[in-house]
Amino acid sequence: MLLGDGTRSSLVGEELKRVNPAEIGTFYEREMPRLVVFVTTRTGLDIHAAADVVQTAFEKALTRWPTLRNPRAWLYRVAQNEALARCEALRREGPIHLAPDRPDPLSAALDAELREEQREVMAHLRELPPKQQEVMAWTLAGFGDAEIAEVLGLSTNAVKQSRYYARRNLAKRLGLAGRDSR
Amino acid sequence: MRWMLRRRRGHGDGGGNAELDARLSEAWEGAAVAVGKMLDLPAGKEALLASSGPLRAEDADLRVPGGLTGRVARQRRRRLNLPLVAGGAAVLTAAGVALAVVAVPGPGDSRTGGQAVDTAYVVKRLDSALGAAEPGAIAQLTVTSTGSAATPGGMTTTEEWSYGAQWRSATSLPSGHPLFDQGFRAASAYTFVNYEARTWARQAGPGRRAEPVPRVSGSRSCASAVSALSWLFQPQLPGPGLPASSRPSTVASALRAAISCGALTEAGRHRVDGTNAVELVSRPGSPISETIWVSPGTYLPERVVVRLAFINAVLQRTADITWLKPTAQNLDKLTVPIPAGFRQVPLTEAGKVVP
Repeated sequence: MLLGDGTRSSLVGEELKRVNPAEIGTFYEREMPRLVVFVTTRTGLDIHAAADVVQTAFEKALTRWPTLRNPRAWLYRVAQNEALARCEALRREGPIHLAPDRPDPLSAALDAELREEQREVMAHLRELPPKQQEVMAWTLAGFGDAEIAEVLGLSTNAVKQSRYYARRNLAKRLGLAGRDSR
Repeated sequence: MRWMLRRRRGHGDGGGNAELDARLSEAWEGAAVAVGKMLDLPAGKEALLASSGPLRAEDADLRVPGGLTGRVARQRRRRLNLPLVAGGAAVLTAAGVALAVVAVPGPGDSRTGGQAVDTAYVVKRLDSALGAAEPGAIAQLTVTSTGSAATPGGMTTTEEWSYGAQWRSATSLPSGHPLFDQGFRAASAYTFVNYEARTWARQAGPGRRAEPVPRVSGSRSCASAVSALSWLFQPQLPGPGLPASSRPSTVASALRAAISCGALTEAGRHRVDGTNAVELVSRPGSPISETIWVSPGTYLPERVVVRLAFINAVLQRTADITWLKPTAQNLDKLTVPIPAGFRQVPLTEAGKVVP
């Protein structure tokens, strides 16, 4: 991006002065927990690691906020990529002697906070095939078809198709198949 | 949500199912709310804004606490923005440990704030990992003793296994010749085998009690940490006559007590058994002289070295640690085998060293 270019970096610094800290703070408080859920769902990272990744993504986004056309989508994409890179690094750093059979304390605490039905839904989301899960996570995070298509490099039809299969899978797994409301 | 609204207007992508949509939305939002309760969002927000000088200067309410540079504040908040989890006593304690490390640097500590923050993060993860491993994993240690105060005859090696209330240690000479084998199992109580005397003893009873090692943050915990490490690294005993409850309950709890002393600092990364492990060393003047190598993947300790200084001697004990799943095969390692031809004697006689 723009970092590394001294002139442009200073311009970014000037532009940042126009960003309202209160708005950024509100945005952070609203998006931070959702983005952590998004990252844990997409990558399986524990909440400690996911929060660390998300905080880093926020910091990156803030330095170039005024230059971003869709800051929220950019933030989610960077967080997702950082999380996937961290998963890959952890995989390479093995051997890991103990494959955890149970979640870390924070993830366990999260499970305790959720009702059984909610836990079930989140578990099924994590078990979807990668593409379906990716599209579903982006959808649940509130992004539209065009945004998802642009971020994931897909056509909008491909996004719709993946979501169709994802929802069909989820409905089947949750015992809700055939309850079409339309 | 946008996609749901569109679908309700008749622009859905097929598979319209209002109940599914409701459950998905409810679960997603529920998870976000729950995560929001766990995160220290004000601290994270403060750290975020502190990472940008211009923003920080504009809003007095969001300024970085005095005395912290932007970088240190950012790292500190990033690393520590997860401490307050409802019902997570272990995590709360871990955060306490981490803060103690950051806030109370040891005497002579000349490291930067950033390193202290990294230390706090690693110690916190280490504590959490040990807390998670404590009830569910078998700790297998290979303890090597070296130095002028090592067992007469030279270096000894002890294989030690710890799992809940069960524990076993088998000590041998460098040649591989076994010296002692002893262990507690819930079913058979305490068993001791003396290979030199070709005797064995068993003491009926409930076995070793699982007593948690007391843990408090700050320097007050150092006494219990010293005690815990002393037991952890003194496996060749002799066990006979030792009250069963006097040992710490598990290797994991002993290590948690040791790190709760708050006297560790990160010293970079080093290869340990093929892993790029994080090295934590005790600060100068610490009551314990120890080095712990932590796996960056699991944050469990892979190797611990403790140095003990006596009046005219030095003893160094190195423990290589493997964390095993409690499979039937691994659980068998907790059983002390009685070799054929060995004579059963009272426990008080079994520990006698053959002249």
